[in-house]
Amino acid sequence: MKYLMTLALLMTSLTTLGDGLPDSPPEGGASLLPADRDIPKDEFGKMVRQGQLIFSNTGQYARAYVGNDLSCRNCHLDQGRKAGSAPLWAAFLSYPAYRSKNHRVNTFAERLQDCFLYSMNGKAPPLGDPILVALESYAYWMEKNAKINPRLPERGIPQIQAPGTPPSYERGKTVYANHCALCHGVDGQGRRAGDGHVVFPPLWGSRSFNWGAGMAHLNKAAAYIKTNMPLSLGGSLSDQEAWDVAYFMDGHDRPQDPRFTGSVDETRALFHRSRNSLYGHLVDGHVLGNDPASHN
Amino acid sequence: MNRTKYRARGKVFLKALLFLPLAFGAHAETSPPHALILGVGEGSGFSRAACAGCHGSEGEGNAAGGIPGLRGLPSTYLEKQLHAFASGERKNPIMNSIAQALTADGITHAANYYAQLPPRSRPLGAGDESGHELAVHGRWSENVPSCDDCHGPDGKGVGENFPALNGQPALYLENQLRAFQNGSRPPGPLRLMENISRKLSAQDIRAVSLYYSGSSAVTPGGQP
Ligand code: HEC
Ligand code: HEC
Ligand code: HEC
Ligand code: HEC
Repeated sequence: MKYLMTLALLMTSLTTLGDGLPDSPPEGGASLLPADRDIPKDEFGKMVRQGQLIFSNTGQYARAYVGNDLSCRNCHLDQGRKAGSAPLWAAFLSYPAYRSKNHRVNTFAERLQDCFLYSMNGKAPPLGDPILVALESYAYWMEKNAKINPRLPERGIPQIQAPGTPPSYERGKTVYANHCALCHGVDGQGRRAGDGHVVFPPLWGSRSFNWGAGMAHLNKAAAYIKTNMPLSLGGSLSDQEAWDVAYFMDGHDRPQDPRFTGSVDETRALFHRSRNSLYGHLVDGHVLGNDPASHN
Repeated sequence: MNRTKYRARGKVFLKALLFLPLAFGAHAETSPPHALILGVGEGSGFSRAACAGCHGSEGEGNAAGGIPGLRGLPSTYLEKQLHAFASGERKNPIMNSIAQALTADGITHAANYYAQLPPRSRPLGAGDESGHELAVHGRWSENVPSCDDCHGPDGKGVGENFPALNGQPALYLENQLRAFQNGSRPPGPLRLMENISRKLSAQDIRAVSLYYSGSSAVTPGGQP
């Protein structure tokens, strides 16, 4: 059989989430997304390619706006294509939208800014900046050329059921050691290739996403991990294991929330009242958000 | 597909047998000085020369024989492989008997010796597009990440558990992917490679192996 990847097929993670089998084939009717070679060879195509470069090597192509070792693609898998990892093309279709995070209607470009501020622990490129234009072009191109199955709710990250037992740091530590440390390291700091390129991204500490990021919320982290991790074995952890390991990951310190008011208690009261945030909580002997090393 | 497999492995076996006397002959003659140079303890069972006949005098491997390069591979990985050969879990008649002749110390010395040689890499990109696609983009519709996602950019390897693929003989890589598929090699950490290899077709295996070997696709008859 000839393998010609003219179109990248998307996994319909929503439907495969429940059965817990990493090997299950994609359910029928997945949306079809264009491949890199379909990027047009004109001025617009150049912008699309630039957007893809920024998305895949954010620290290199948008250095001024990045404050950690992550790239967009580390979370939004298959360069922003993969359903179940908040795919970029499905997001493009979903804005402007109201966000409870900032209590107003956000444009797509503003949503991109947010990921720079929190997930990338950096600064928001100003609206109209070529970096945002390139990312928007990339998202638009992907969406425009996709054959989208209208019945598939591929946007975002599939929800995960509430945990049967409250998540536990200790159990999470065991899950982490058995299923994650191989790649992300015993210390959670990930691993680089010999040339310095980040291959396995850091999950906590000063080079990871900050306290304001979606991934710093237990429900989002658990859902993301359940669907996507361990890499290539998404869906193999039980819901409980996903919650426990999310608790362990988010139970470590990380860069300060950029909305920090000077007081952890106050910042918690203003921005982290959710049960899904461990910010300001005592976990494993530390009050999270209080680590001087994370105030950078 | 099965027939290709046995032909491929048979060829390696024959070639390797030809090397055997040479390898062990060299061992007998040069063992003491090498042992000194390498600081290998007496009786550890490892001398570089015993391996050089097949794996090359600088651990660079032998493309035609499908014999892997060892230089620069992580020591933890090499050690695990040698133990797996010794126990017979990783099946290869030649390496099974060679590894069984090594003591545990010999295995550690061999692994450390090859691990400290600086790796060599080749420019990739020759060969057909489907190999390149799999290597750098994967096939996420079947939950197959890109090979580079774990083996690092250009397949140059990452840390102690993810060996380099760059520059390994295409024949060797093909044999390994089939070995993961059929269980004649242990599934490796988290059974990652067993799981991934089972999602690859014979065509995928050929294309991606050629890609990482760094040799050009147009060698009609060159690859079995
Ligand atoms: C640490 C992981 C992480 C990184 C790195 C990251 N994101 Fe996100 N991103 C997320 C998560 C988690 C969500 C979903 C949050 C939610 O559901 O509220 C998200 C949401 C988004 C959305 C909105 C999705 C939707 O459907 O509404 C866009 C657009 C986006 N990210 C773009 C980017 C870009 C561009 C970058 C790089 C500059 C980036 N992200 C880096 C984790 C990350
Ligand atoms: C086989 C290696 C591997 C294993 C095992 C693995 N991951 Fe990952 N993980 C990756 C890679 C590679 C990425 C980045 C994906 C990319 O860039 O394509 C990643 C990304 C992530 C991210 C988003 C990026 C970030 O730094 O926040 C999270 C969160 C994550 N992994 C958590 C986990 C957890 C929890 C486990 C254990 C249940 C786990 N991973 C197991 C390889 C792995
Ligand atoms: C007669 C030829 C021959 C000799 C001598 C030989 N090898 Fe091998 N070696 C092979 C072949 C063939 C393979 C590939 C086996 C397979 O396909 O699984 C191999 C594979 C290996 C591997 C696995 C590499 C990987 O990437 O997984 C290691 C490690 C190894 N040999 C170490 C040694 C050491 C150390 C010596 C010397 C003590 C040695 N070999 C001597 C033929 C030889
Ligand atoms: C999710 C992580 C992951 C991905 C993705 C991955 N590998 Fe691997 N691979 C591994 C690990 C771990 C090992 C080491 C296995 C062992 O210790 O026996 C390995 C070993 C190998 C080996 C044996 C190397 C040797 O020296 O004997 C080959 C060949 C290989 N992989 C090919 C591939 C190819 C081709 C792809 C892409 C289609 C791929 N791998 C994708 C994790 C991965």
